[in-house]
Amino acid sequence: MSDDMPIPIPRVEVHSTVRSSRERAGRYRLEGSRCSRCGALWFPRRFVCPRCYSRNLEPYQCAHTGSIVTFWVDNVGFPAVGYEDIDDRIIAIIRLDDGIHVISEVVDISPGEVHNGQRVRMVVRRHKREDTGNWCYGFKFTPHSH
Amino acid sequence: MSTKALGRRVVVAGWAITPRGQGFEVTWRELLVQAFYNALAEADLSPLDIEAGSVAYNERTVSEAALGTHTVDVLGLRMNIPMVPVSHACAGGGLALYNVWNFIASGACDVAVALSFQCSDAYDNFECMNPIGNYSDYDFLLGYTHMQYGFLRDKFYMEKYGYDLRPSAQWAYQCHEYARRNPDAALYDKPMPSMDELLDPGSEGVRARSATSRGPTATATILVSEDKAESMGIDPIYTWVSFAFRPPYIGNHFYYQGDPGHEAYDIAEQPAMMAAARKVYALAGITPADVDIVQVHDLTGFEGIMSLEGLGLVPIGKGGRFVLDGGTSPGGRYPACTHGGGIAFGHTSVGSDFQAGFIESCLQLSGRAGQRQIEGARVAVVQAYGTHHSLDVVSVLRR
Repeated sequence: MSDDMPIPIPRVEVHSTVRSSRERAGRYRLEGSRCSRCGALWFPRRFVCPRCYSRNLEPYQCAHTGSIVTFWVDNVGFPAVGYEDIDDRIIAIIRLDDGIHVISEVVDISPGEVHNGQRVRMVVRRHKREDTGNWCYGFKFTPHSH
Repeated sequence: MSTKALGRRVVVAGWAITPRGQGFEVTWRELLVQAFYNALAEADLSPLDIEAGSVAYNERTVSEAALGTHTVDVLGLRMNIPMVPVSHACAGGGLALYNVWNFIASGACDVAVALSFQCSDAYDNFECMNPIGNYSDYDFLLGYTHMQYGFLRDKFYMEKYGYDLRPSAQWAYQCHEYARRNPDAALYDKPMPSMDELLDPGSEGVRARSATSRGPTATATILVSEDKAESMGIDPIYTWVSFAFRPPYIGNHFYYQGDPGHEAYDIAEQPAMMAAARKVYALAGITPADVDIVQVHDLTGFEGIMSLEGLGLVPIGKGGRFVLDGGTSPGGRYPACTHGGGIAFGHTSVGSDFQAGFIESCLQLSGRAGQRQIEGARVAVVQAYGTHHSLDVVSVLRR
């Protein structure tokens, strides 16, 4: 092997790019499901409604605005893989304006400024670099003044 | 769900947990052999007596695709023994026991073993937990971990029910005290933390109020039918096991519409635990008022407190006050986590969390808990969860 062709390091558990792509509508647009029979809203998307057992569900774009229910400033030394260089990462439960709850990072605000009840809106931001080498993108939330 | 009594009562015949501090040279095969043969000796049984089993593991830690056959092979059992593998995060050991309990209660066999272990071949013990999650497309891929969920839930519980850090610190302090009476606890011979250290609002305090690693661990619990126990001359400890789910996506822990039993709750309450507890109490013919001691899954102090509430031992939201008033101390109404709990006995995921509490209950009910013995204990409750209460296992033991 030359410097131009180093010995490859086998990586047997690289996560599938297909898997990452399959849920892109949920991660990029907060797309969940609405039951065509009973109207229940779901996130993440579902294939059967657990309320009425209908299998007739349609894509539903969840509200992109909501309020912080509670949050945690992650600074205790156990960051998620790929997020080691972020100090004081804000992770929150957000109640969207249509009643759906999601977990999300909150950005563009310092830990001292964030508070429960704060209005936020969804943005698409870069997350971590996957072990395929691709960057993962997905929803985060940012303060929303309206 | 039906709670009709099954035909046969189930008795605990033997149990074992591997010693702490074995280091990372030990293999999961070696650990399983230690636990299984020590439990067999405790029960005074032969490997030939075992008719069935179930083994819990974390699928991220072992790369063998068919763990049942490996388990039968490594234990030297006859190859016609059914050994059902289960992987369900920290509650896996409880599910293995649930399987084995059903084998006996249904009459399928008379002697069976529940095994579980936490020991990694494929990844180190921390790394293996990162790429898995409650709903990995929306937590692992977006960078949220099970530990962040736990810290978030603690903070929400405090906000919702008006607590500061004192109940969690008091729970942790009490766990440390129990652990100093338990030579098998991870922190048995370590210095006691001060209450000031446990009340630290910073990252050191968060760690001090959270679970401690116990390192590689395996457990084995042997259950037998009542008839078999009588023929063996066992002074019986009867047991019953139940479990229930809640949706795995953490956002759906808020007012989930898919099950009427969940619509009133959020992450500060545990409806799966409530359902599992109701069912197992009915199977055992007890109420919370009959319970003498309790071992719960306390990866943080507030986790333990929320579990007291989920088990119906104290009203929702009142667990913190109950702990501050000494309700879970040795002389309290419900002495809790008397082995030291996740905080001081140690947390080893599927290998320890449920069956360690179950084994502690056996020791307590048989009067063999040494310096931490709770006098007169006759009814014990054990609980553990997997992936943040998307699964809760609850067991009752009665002497």
